[in-house]
Amino acid sequence: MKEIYLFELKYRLRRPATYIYLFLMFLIPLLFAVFEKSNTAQYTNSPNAIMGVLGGMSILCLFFYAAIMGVAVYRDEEHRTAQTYFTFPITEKNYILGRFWGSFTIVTFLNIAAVLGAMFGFAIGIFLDRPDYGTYTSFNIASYFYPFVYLLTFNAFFIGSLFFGLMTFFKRMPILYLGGIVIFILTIVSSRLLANLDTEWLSIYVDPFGNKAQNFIDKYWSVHELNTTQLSLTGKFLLNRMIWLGIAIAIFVFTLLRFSYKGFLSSKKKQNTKEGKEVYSTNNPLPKIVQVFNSKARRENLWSLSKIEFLSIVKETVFIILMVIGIVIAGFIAYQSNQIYGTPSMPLTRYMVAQIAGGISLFSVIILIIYAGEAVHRTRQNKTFEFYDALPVSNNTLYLSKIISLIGVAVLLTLISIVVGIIYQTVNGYFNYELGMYFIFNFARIFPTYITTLLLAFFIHVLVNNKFLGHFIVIVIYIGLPLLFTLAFKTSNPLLIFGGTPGGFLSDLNGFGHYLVGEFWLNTYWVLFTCILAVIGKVFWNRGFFSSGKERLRVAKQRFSGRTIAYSLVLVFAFASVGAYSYYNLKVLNKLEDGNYGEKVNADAEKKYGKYIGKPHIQVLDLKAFIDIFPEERRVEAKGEFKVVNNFEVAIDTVLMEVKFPIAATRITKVIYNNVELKPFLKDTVYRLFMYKLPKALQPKETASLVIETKAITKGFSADSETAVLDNGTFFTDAIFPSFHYDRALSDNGVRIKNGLEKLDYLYPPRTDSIALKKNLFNEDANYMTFEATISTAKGQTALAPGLLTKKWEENERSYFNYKLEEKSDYFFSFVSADYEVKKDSWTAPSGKKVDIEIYHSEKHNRNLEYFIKGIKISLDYNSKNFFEYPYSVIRIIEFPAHSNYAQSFATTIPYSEDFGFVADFSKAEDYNYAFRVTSHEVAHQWWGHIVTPSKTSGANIISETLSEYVSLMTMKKEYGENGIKSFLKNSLDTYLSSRQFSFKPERSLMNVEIADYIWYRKGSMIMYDLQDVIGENKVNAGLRSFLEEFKYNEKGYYATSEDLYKAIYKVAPDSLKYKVDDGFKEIVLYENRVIEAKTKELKSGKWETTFTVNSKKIYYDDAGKEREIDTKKNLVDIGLFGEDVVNDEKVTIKDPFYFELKWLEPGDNKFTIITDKKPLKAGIDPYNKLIDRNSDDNLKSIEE
Amino acid sequence: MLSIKNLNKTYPNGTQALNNVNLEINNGMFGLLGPNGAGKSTLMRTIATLQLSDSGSIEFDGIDVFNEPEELRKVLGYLPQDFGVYPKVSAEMMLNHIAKIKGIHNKSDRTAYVADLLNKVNLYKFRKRNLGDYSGGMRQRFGIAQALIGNPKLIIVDEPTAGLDPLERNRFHNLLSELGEDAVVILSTHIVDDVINLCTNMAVFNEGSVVVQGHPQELTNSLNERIFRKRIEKEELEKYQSDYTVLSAYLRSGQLNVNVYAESHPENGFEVVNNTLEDFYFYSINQPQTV
Repeated sequence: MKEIYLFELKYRLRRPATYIYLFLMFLIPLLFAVFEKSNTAQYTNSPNAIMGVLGGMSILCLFFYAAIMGVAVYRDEEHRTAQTYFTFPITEKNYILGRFWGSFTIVTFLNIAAVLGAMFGFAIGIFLDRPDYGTYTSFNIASYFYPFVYLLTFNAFFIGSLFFGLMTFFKRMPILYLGGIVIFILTIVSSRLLANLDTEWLSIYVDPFGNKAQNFIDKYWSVHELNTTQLSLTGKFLLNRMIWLGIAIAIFVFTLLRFSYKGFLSSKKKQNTKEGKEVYSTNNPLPKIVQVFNSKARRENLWSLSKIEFLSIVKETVFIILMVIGIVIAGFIAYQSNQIYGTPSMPLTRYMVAQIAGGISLFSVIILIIYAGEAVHRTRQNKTFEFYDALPVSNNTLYLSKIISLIGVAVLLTLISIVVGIIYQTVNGYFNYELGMYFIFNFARIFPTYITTLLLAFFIHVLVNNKFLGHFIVIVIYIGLPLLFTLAFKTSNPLLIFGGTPGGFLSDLNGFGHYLVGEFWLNTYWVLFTCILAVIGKVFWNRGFFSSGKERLRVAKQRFSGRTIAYSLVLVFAFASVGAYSYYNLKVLNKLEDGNYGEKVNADAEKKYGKYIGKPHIQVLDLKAFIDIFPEERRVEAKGEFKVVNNFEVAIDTVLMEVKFPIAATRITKVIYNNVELKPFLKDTVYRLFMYKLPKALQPKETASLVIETKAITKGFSADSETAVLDNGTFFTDAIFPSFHYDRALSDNGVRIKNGLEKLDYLYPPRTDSIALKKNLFNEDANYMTFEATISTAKGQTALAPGLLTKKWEENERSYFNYKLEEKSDYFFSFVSADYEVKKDSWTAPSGKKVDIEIYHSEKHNRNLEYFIKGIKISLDYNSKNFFEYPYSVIRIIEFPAHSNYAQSFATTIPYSEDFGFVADFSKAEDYNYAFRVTSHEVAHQWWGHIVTPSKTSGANIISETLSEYVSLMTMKKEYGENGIKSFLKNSLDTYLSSRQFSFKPERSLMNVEIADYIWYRKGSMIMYDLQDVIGENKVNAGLRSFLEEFKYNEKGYYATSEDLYKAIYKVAPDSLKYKVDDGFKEIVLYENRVIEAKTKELKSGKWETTFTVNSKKIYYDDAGKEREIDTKKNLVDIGLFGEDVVNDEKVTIKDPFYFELKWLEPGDNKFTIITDKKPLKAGIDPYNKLIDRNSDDNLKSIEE
Repeated sequence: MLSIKNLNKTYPNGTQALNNVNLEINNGMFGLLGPNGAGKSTLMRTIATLQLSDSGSIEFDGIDVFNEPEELRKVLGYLPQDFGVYPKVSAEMMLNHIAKIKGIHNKSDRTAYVADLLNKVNLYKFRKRNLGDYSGGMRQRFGIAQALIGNPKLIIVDEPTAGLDPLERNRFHNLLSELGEDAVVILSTHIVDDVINLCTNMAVFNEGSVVVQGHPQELTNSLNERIFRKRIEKEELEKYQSDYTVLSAYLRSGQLNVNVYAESHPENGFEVVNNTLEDFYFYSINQPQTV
C-alpha cells in the first residue's frame, strides 16, 4: 500500500497540472480575502469572514477534487494499464487505499494552499490601508485552523470519496460531472431553504459543505459573536458535519469493500436486440455514383455533420439527466422564490420567465460549458478524428458543425425554459400564458448569454488542450472576472464585464419597457466579441496531428488568410462599431462611472458645501406645480411657482439649488425670483449644485415669489435603469424641483475617512439641537405648506398628484389634470402617470365626512383590490377614532411598475409597487396578507409622518415608521386575530434578529436608530406590541393621542423627537411597567426564556394538575452585541398551558390555550402548578413569542404525564 | 501516381520519424512493410493530410498534398490503424454522412450505395446499431467501409486486418484488390503474408526511411541461395548470433531454428531454405544497406 501511496504522490507531484491547481487554490482565496469588505462593525477578518472565504472555496474546489480524486483509479482504465497493473501482487484493498490516500494527500496540500492564500490575502488587505474595507483584528491561527479542518478537510474527504467511488465503479467521465452537479444542486437547494423561515432548519441536513448550515446557526448572532466565536464542532453544526462525514465514510468503505479487479475490468455492453433480420437484396444494378464538391454540397455536409454532433450531445444519458435535474431545480426555485413574506405570488409569466431562467439558465450555462468542452474533445477522445479528419470536409465545416450543434443545444435549452414555465403555470392552475413575453425574454435576453457562453467556452477549450483546465478557465472568466471587476474596480460597466448588459425589469404595467434596446446592443456587442474568439479558435482548430506548439502556430498562420482575414476584419469592425455606439450611449449620452467616482464626487461636494449645513435658507409656503410628462419620450418638463419665506432670524441673500432628480440629464432651465430672472454665480454640473445671488436680500419673515423651470430628459440607452419616467408607469417625487439646502451624501464612515471626511458617530444632530428641532425630517425646505398641481400626460394615461381632482381636460392630444390639496402638508409630493383602471369605494369618518377611496391599478390586476380597500378603511377608522380625524376627503392607492418593491405614503396618495400585493395569492387564510398590512401601514403614515412629522434628529424616524407599524399591527389583530399577529410577529422577530449582525453602524436602541429599518419596523413593532399588551391598547393610544395633539402640523414651532414619543408612552405606563418602556426604547434587550420541565396528572375530580418550571432570563447588550448585564429584577411574561392546536373556520392552525396569564417571573427558574379542566399537552413561557428571544423553539415543551 | 520527395519529420522529443523518404507509387497495391515504430504510421498520416512534415513534398496526380489537402481528401480513402467512432450514431447514418461528405449527394443513389457497401463489409444486418455498441471486428469493418466510399483514387490502409477473423480478412483482401486495379493502394502492415498475397510493389520501411523497394517476388528472389537454416539448441543462440547474420530465430515443433544470411553456404549443418519474403524482410531491416 505504501508503494502505491508513494507512486500516487509522485505521479501527482510530477504533473504540471498539480502545480497549476496549487497555484489557483492559493490565488483565489487570496483574492477573495484581499477584497473581503465589511460595512458593519464586524472585523473584515473576523472568524466568520475567514470561514466565509474558506468555506466559499468548497464549491470551486469541486473541480480540483474531481480532477485529482476522481481520476486516481480511472487513470488505469483510461491509460489501459489496469489489465497489467492488476496482475501485480497488490491486494485490492491496498490498491484502493494507496490510490485514495495518495490523492487525498495532494488534495490536502491544495487545502493548505487555500488557507495560506486566505492568510496572505487578509495580510495584504491590512497592509493596503483601505478605511472603506472595514477594520481588521489581529491574526488568530484558530480562525483559519477550524475552517480548514471542519470545512475544507471534511469536504475534501466527502467530495473525494464520492468522486473516487463514482469513478471506480462507473469509469465514465460524465459521472464526474453528474456527481459535481448533484453536489452543486444541494448547495443551491440549501441556500434556497435558508431563505425561507419554514424551511431553513432543513439546511442543516441538506448542505454538504457545512457553510450554509453554519449560516443558519449563526443567523441570530450579534456582531460581537461573529467577531469572537470560532467555528466549533458542536450542536447543529456537529450534526451537519457528522451526517456528511458519515455519508463520506460509507461511500469510502463501500468502495473499499466492493472494489474488485474483476469487476473493474469487465465492461458492461448492452446488446441492442432490435436488429432486423433482413438480408441485403437488390435487383437493381448499383447506380453509377457522381461526386460533387460544390458549395451546396458543402452546406449539406455542414448540416449533416452538425446533426451528428448535435445527436451526440442530446442522446447522451448524462445530458438527459442534467436536463431533468435542471428542470426539477427550476421548478423548485420557482416554487421557492415566487413568494413574498412567505405568501405565494401568482405564477405570472413575468415571474416565471425570470425564475425558471434563474434555475435552468444556470444549468444551461453549465451544460453549455461542459458540452463545448466535449464538442472540442469528442472526436479526439473517441479517436474518430483519425479517419474523419482525412475526409474531404473543409475546416469550416468541421469547426462550424460543432458550434452549430452547440447552438442547437442552446435553442433546445431555451425552448425547454419556455415549456417548463408553461407547465408550471398550468400545474398551478394559471392559464394566462404570455407567449410573446416567453419568447422575447428567452430569446432576446437569455439566448444571447447562451451563445456568448458557448462560444467563449468553445474558444478556451480549443486553445487549452486540457479539459479540466479548460473548464476551470471558463469558470474563472465567467464568474471570477466580473467579480474582480466589481470588487476591485467597483465598476458595473457592461462593456467590461463579460456578457454584461444594462439592467431592466419586467412589469405588467410597463412590459419590457425601453430596456430591450440597450440590451440588444450590448448582447450584440458580446456576441460579436465571442464571434471574434470563434474565428481565432478556427485558426487554431486542431485537425489531424500536430506535434508542437510551433507547428500549431505554423498551421494557424497558414489558415489565417484570405476569407478568414476578411471575416475577422468584418467582425472586428462590427464589434468596434457596436462597442463605440454602446460606449457613446452609455458613457457620452449618459453617465457611467465606477463606485469610487461617485464617492469622490460626494466627498468633494461635502468639502465644498458642508459649510451650508444648518445655515438659513428659503422655505416654501405654497407650490403650484405644472408638470408635463411625455411617457413615450421618457421626458418631463416642470414649472414650479413657489411662494417662499425666510423663517430664520437673519437675512438670506443667496439661494442654493441642488438637483436631486434620479435622471442624469436634469437641468434647471429658468429661475425667476420676484419677476427677475436669475443666473447662477456658481455652477457645479458634476454634483448638480447651483447658487444664485438674490437681487435683494430676503429679510426674516419676508416672502417672495420664485418660479423654477426644469427639464429631465433621457437620451439613447443608459446603464442606469432610469425608472422615474417610463412608457407606462411614471412615478417620481418633488425632486423634480431642486432642493434649497445641502445635505451630506456619504454616511459610511469607512468611505468618509478614505475620502478625507470626518467620522460621524451619529448622522443626525442630537435631540438637544434647537436648530435641528425646527427641521422637518422629510424635507427641511418647508414646514407645512399648501399645494396645487396641474399635471399633463399622454392621452390615454391618467396622471396623479396629491390632492383632490378639481379639473380634468384634454388639449393637443394630451390629458390634463388639476389637483388641489385640501389641507396643509409637509413638502413631500408624488407625480404618477400610467394607463389605469380605477376601483372606487368610500369611507365615512366618525364626523360624517365622506372620504373617496380610489385604487388605480393595471387592467390586469383585479384580484386583490378588496384587501387594499379593507386595509384603507380599517386603518382610516382606527387612526381617526383613536387619534385624529383624517384631514382629507380622498385617499388613493396607485400602482407603479415592479422596478422596486415598496409603497410610499404621500398626502392622500400612496404609490404602490405592482409586486407588493396586486399579484399575490392570498387564497390561503393562513398566509400573511401583506397587501392589507402594508396598506394599513401606509395609510397610518397620513397621521404618523404627515400630521406629526419627525424632527431631523437621531431616532425621530420611529415616530413615522414604528407608529405606522404599530397601527398596522393593531388593525391586523382586529381583522385577522391571532393568525395575523402570529405571522406578523414571526416575521418581525426573525428579521430583527437576523439583521442585527448586518447593522451598518453599532446597533442603536429604538430611541437612537437612524438608518436601520430592521429596528424601526421590526424591533419597533415587537416593542409596541408588547407594550400595548401589558399596558393596554387604549392607554397606549391615549398617550399617542396626546402626543399627536402636542406636535401636529408643527403648531408648536418645532418637530417631535423620539424622546417625546418615549415620554408619551412612559407617562401612560403604570410604574411597575415603566421598565418595559425603558427596555424597549433605550436598551438592547434579549430574553432567553424556556420551559425546563412540565408534568401533569389527573385529579380525582377529573381535572388535571400540571406542574411546570420555566426559566426566565433577560440580558442587556451593548451596541456591539456584547453581553452587558443579566437582569436581576422580576419581569412580566406570559405563561400558559395548551391543548392540541386547533384549526379555525378559516382553516388556519392556531393554539388552544387552556390556561394563559401574564406573570411576574423571577430571573431563573419559576415553578407553577395549575389546574385545568382538560388535559394540557404543552406548557409554555412567552408562547406567542411576543418578547425578543433568539431561541423561540424552547418556549413550548410537551407535558409528560 | 503518388510521389514522395525528401520527406523529413522529427518530433519534439528528438525521434526522427521520417528521414528523407522518397517513394514513387503507381496504381496497384503497394505494400509498406516495417517493424513497429518504424515511422509507417507517421508516413501514412502525412500522406493522408493529417500531419505536417518538416520538409519535403508529396504529390498525387498533380495534387500537392501539403498545399491542397482539400483536393487530396476528395480522392482519398484512409483507414487508420487506431480509430474511434461517434458512439451514439448508427453505422448507416454515419456512412451516409460520410458518403455525403465524399460528394455523393443524390439521395437514392447514396442510399443504395451505402447499403451495398454495408453488405460488402458484412455489416448490413447491424446497420441500425449504434457504433458505440460494435465489437472490435465490426468496428474495423466499418472503418474499411468508410475508407472505400466514393471510389477513392488513393487508398491508405494502416494495419487493416488487425482484429479480423480469417474469413473477413479474405473478404477484405478481395475488396481491396478489386479497387487496386485503378487506384493507388498503400497497405501498411507488418504481416508479410498480406504483402505477398496482394501487392505488386512494396517497400521495406525502417527507422524512418525506405530501406528497399521493389516487386515482392523479385526482392525475395534476390536472396535465393543465400538463406540457410539450422536447428540449434537454445543455449547456442548467442554464439550463432555473433558468428552469423542471424535473420530470425523461431520455434518449429518446439525446436529452435535459425535462419541466417550468408554469401556462400556456411556448412556446419546449415541447409539452404526455400527463402520467402519474410527472410528478405528480416534481412533488409537487419542490414540497412541496400542490396
